[in-house]
Amino acid sequence: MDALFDKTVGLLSNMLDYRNKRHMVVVSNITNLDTVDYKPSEVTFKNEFEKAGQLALKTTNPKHLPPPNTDGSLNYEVTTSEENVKIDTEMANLAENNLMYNTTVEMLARKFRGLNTVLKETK
Amino acid sequence: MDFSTTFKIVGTGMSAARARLDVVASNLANASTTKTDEGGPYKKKTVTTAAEPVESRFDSAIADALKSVKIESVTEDPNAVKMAYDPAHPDAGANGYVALPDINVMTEMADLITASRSYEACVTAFDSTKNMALKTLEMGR
Repeated sequence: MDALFDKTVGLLSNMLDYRNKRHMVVVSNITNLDTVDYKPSEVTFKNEFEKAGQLALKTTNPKHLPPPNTDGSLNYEVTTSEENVKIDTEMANLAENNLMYNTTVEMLARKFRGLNTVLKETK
Repeated sequence: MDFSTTFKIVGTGMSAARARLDVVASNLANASTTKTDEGGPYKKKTVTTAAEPVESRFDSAIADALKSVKIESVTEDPNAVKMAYDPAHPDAGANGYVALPDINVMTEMADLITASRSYEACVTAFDSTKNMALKTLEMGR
């Protein structure tokens, strides 16, 4: 079960979670476009790229050290800018995030479809 | 996955933009109104909005970053009155001057377009949220 679901599904669902949170923050920024003194926030993940890269580490030799634990859990950072809301940046973020969300859902859907095919075709 | 909070946030933005549009419309419509219930000419009105934290049951890390908009107040500018010489006007004073609202149509039109654009931005954000929610449902197919 772990081999089937842990890596891809775990990482992708964490990605979905991140994209959803980022979307909420971007929407909050767009909503407060005309609010005086509102400072926009942004959600970023710093460590996750490094973590994701470590997935490629394999212990091909028993003497190898095991790769660090890659549970794919996200620790994001919320930063608040000192400048006012820039509508073009926010709209670009919205579109980019939306696209990435759809891509992630598509990847998850394909993973499930693949599993489904395996289950059906081996009967 | 908490799309309902997102919809709620965009909703407040849309109603704030609508309130701005309503007030601009009122200002434009009454640009030459000399009589009001309170007495005197119509006074130019302005909407002020403030950011309000969203109660979120989830992640406290991003909860601080999420703000909806609330309409704080609609203020009247008591000094927005200009005197125009028009002795034939029924509301003219003894000296022939009539008190008219000091409403700059150009400024109001600019405000109108600004409010309309922020409404559009909110609609785009709403649409994007809706697409994301629908895409999530597609995953199971």
